[in-house]
Amino acid sequence: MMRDLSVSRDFSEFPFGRYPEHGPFNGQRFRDEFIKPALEQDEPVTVDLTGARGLAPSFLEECFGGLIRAGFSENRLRQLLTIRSDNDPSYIDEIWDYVHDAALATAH
Amino acid sequence: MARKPPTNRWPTARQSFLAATSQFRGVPTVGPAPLIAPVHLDFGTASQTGRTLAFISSLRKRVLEKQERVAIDLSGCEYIGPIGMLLLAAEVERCNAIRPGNIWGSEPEDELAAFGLAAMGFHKAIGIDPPRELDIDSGFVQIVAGTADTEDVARKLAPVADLALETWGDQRFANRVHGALNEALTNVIMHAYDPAFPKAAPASDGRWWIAGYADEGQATFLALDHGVGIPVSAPLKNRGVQSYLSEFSSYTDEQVIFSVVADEGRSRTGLQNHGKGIPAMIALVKDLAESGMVWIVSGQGAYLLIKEAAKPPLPARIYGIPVKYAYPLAGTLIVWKVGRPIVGEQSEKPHDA
Repeated sequence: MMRDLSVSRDFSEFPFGRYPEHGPFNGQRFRDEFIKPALEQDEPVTVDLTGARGLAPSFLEECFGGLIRAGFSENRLRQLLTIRSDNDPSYIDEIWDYVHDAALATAH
Repeated sequence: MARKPPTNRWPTARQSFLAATSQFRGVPTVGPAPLIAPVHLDFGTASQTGRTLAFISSLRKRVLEKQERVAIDLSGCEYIGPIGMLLLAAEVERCNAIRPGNIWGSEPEDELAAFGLAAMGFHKAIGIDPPRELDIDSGFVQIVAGTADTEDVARKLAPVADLALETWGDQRFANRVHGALNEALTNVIMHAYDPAFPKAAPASDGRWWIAGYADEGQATFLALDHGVGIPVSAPLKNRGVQSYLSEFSSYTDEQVIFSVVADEGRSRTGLQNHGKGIPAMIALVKDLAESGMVWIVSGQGAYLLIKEAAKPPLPARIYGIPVKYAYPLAGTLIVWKVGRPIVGEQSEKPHDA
């Protein structure tokens, strides 16, 4: 069964920061409390960025690149994870670059 | 007869500046020692910038080091620009947080300078009522201050996104602008106020200030912190900068700042612990805006990156200028000017700039 997560609906319209010390709506928290548990069900997961305001690179990198550091392989993420961003589809490529970079960094 | 200094009736941390306005004009003959602001309180020519930095530095030294009571005399200011206002508001706040009740001030006599102060929310930023009510509902992001750990930073930056949307009418572009400023403030938290560094100054933990204004299709955003500064933090934390600087036996502040800018083009900086704020700002100007500027000032150095709009058949031109200042800026100031979004341009990956 597909699981749909929305950053703005389920987390915050104003996500900010990488780590918990950056505030309550940081990337690490969204990854660990929302994306990772959903992926661990081994079912497809869609993360919708539409409606989230001011998405910053470190938030996105920690959410998605951080999944590699949390133990997921890039191939597995490409099988299970779909990113949606109606307002600005360029975030999708950016996120997959973060995933790829994190995979390369982990491999080395 | 000599006028007595006004009684201090503002015992809280962010209080006294300008509260004495109704009680004295100009330089008092008795009481707080006067500190006369430069006629041009803002960055500009080398001498204007130098006088502004010297004025801010003098305020800090007299209040915090010499333990003086200081009356800031703005009455002779003919121009107070956004940078001057932001630096002054932040310094007054810092001084008041450490030694409450030791700063007094007078309003500028120049109508435009006084209007500018009120329009940018200077009075509100230092915790007092503005001397005049202005009917301004657009074109400005008044000075916003905050810290990282106790406040909803991104929500506080929403007015930035609103100004961007109002200026360009492009939701996607406005979101990118908002995101880059969010990233810059993330960097402030991660790097400028890293607990591993010695404190740059007392009572400055995590504090940041932003402001903005729009004019003729361009929006300018200012971000300031009182952290250790890029010339201290970058050589210790950024491997790309370390590699670049290792080629030199000694280096200047502007060289360090340049290396941070250059590092944006060398590496993919989404990685952990690698500052992405400045690269995100630069990438947006380079890739998505017709024109713009990123002006980074820290310590005694600065780097100015400018993108001039294309004038067909000539393409857009991008160039950088390192600058050395005679007086240091305590912390880091970023002035980010963003022109109109490039029509029909697909958003590109910021790190590909």
